[in-house]
Amino acid sequence: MFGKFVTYLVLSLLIYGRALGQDGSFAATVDKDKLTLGDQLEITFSLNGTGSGNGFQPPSFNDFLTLSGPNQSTNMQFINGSMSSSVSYSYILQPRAEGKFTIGPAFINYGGKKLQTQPITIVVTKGAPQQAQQKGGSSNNQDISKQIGDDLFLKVSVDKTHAVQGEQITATYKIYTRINVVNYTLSKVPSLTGFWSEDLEVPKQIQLTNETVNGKQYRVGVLKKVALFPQRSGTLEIDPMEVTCVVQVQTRRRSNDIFDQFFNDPFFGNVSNINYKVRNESVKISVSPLPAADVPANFNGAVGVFTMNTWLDKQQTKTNEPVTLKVKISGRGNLKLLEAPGITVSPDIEKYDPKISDNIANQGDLVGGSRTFEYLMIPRHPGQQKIPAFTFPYYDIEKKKYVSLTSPEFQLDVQKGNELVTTGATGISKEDIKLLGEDIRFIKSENLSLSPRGESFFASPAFFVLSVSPLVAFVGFVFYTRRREKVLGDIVGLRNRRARKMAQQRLAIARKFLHAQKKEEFYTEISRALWGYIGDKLGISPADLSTDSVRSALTARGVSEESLTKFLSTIEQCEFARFAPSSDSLKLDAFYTETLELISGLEDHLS
Amino acid sequence: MSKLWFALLVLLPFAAMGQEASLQFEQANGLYRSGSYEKAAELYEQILKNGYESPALYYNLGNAYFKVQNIPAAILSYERAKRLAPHDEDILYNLRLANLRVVDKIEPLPQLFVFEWWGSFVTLLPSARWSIVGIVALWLAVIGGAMYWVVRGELARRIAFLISAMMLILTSVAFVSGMQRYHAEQNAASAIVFAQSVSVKSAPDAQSTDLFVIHEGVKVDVLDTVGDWKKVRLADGKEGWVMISSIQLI
Repeated sequence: MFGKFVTYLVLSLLIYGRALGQDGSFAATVDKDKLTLGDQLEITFSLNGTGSGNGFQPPSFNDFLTLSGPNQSTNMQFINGSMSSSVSYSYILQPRAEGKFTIGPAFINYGGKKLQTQPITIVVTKGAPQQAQQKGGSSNNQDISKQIGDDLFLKVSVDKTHAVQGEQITATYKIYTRINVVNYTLSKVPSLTGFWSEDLEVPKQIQLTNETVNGKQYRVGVLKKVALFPQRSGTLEIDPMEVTCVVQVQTRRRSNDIFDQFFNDPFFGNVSNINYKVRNESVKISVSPLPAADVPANFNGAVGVFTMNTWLDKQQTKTNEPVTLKVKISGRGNLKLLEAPGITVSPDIEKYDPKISDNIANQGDLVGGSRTFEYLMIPRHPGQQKIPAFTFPYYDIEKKKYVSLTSPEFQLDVQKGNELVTTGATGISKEDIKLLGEDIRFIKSENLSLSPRGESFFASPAFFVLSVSPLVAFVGFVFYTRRREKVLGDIVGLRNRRARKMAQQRLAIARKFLHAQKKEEFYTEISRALWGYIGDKLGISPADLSTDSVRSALTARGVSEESLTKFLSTIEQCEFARFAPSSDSLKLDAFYTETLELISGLEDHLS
Repeated sequence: MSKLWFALLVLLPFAAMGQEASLQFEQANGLYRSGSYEKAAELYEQILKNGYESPALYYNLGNAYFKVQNIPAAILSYERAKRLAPHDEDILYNLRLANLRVVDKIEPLPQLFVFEWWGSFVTLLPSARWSIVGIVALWLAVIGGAMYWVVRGELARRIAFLISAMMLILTSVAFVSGMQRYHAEQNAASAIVFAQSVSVKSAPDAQSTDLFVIHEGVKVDVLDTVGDWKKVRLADGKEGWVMISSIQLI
């Protein structure tokens, strides 16, 4: 320390000397040239002279991280009417790696000259628990850490080491000290992976309490308090926090120099402030998962103890006038992780994403308060709308089971607003839009005939009568024509049908004559029967009847030559016998039978 | 000729009452012209209640409702007018205008062209006209048949047979069309939504899931009835159940 001081003194004297000696001096100074990784270094380039310079060009600080700078400061003095000024540019640097580095010269234009600084060599060593000791004091490092030993340590305490996923764990970082701590900075904040963390409030001014650990009394201060919500199950680690403390230690000097001993007295400030890093041991938390059974369908990971309140700001509204549905979930738990409960409303109501506002009111160390979701809803169509009940499920940390909070159902009476009903823009053609402005066509004032309602000619009795009557008429017509035909019509057909009957009648007469032994009449009647029969059958009129015409007609009908010959010979016999002298009755009898056989044979052929 | 005969036959008993209704109709039209649409609508409704109808009556009633911004009632009346006179330009135009005021825009499903043709063919004439056409054609068919029976010449017989056959086909077409039209006229297979907004349910039960929401003025086809519930189908093919109170049959 003393050495450093001397160095500074010499250096500054030199600079001063140069400043005095020449008009305008430009120099670089560092607050230390040996440092550890993680330490900070301040380098200052100062220009002393009677005027100001320009075009300051800093060296490159490639091996360092520029934490701050350039910070420019100007100082002016008037001494005996002459002005002197000093301009300084300072940077705060942090080494990137260990080793020996040279900071190159800086340049500035001053009074037409370009001034430059001397390069500075910096030695960076690996981080030791402490350093900052200057030359000659390095042998003290271990001493100091030994000296501090367990007089200063950091400890994290948790309220529980077993928790379910999402349950709050409070971690308290405390510093225990038996020595003077002038200042401290949290140099490494725990990353707390696996947790969602929420800093709990600790007094700005550390309040120290006394605590006895292992028989030693410590002053204890709470540095940090965190509420942790484990986000996954398994073993999670609360990783250590690192605090850099500036502690006051008495520098013990080995030398027995009276002068030194004198200055060893704290009164003379022979106490040095050193940086001392402390870190706590990490703590393991075992997190068990939430029960897998009976998980509500829309469970979103809310864990804690909650209540839900819902309000609809009005029960009556008009179309396109918004209503607000507020859902307030209050209690304790991982409030900031709460997701908005899913609310489904009818498509007639336009629902927007909720506005979320939190009111965190921690109850001691327990994170709690309320989270409010404000749903803006705009009914687009009139009618009795309802906002159905919805549920907010959470895992109740006290009851150790899932609980679903259910909202009431809201009725919303939507009146028709003044504005034109919004027509869904889809599906309207340009033509339709044009039509929308048109007026309807005027009422009809012509052809005002009215008809009784619900009656149609179709299926009426008249209809059935009119549609069945043509069929009846047709059937009637057919019958009528048939009849007429019978009466007037077809003589040929009639004769044909009657031929046999007539022949039989004539034969019956002939038979009478046979019995009466009237030979001449008998033959006449037989002849008539035959001629008549054949005439009727073949449709030949009596005038045209002759042996030749019968022969050709019968041949045409396909009657055999034998039958034809028999027929013709019978007729011939008749003619001949009529006028021949008497013959006996036996012969007549046989002739009669022959004729009967002939007719029935012809009947088979001709019918 | 036969139409006149039919008109006489059917209308004669109502002639006296019809006189009064016609007067009322004129009176209502007068009210409409003077701008008192609500009163005109009331009077038109009165005529309907007395048991009369005509496309013009429904059309004018629809106009009156349209003027007082009662769109679903206007659409219902136009649809009823259209049912009686499916090809009336004025009815179709005003119905289209009224439908533009309906919130829901429903894209109708495309129909097979054959059905579309048949549909527009059937609606060419009301059932009464179809039956007259059928009856006349039937008479002609019978006369043709009689000619066929009677005439002797080969060509004349052929012509008579051809006429008779063609008329018989026309008769069956006319009667089938008439039957379809009659069915459509008598049984309201469609309805108009009157409730301002209706949640169409998946089942005839108030507790069942909401499928979709339709609004006043939408035309639906009624497919089935269970208690107070009607199964309806939208023009785009969506189906569901609504309370009977929320719709009015055309």
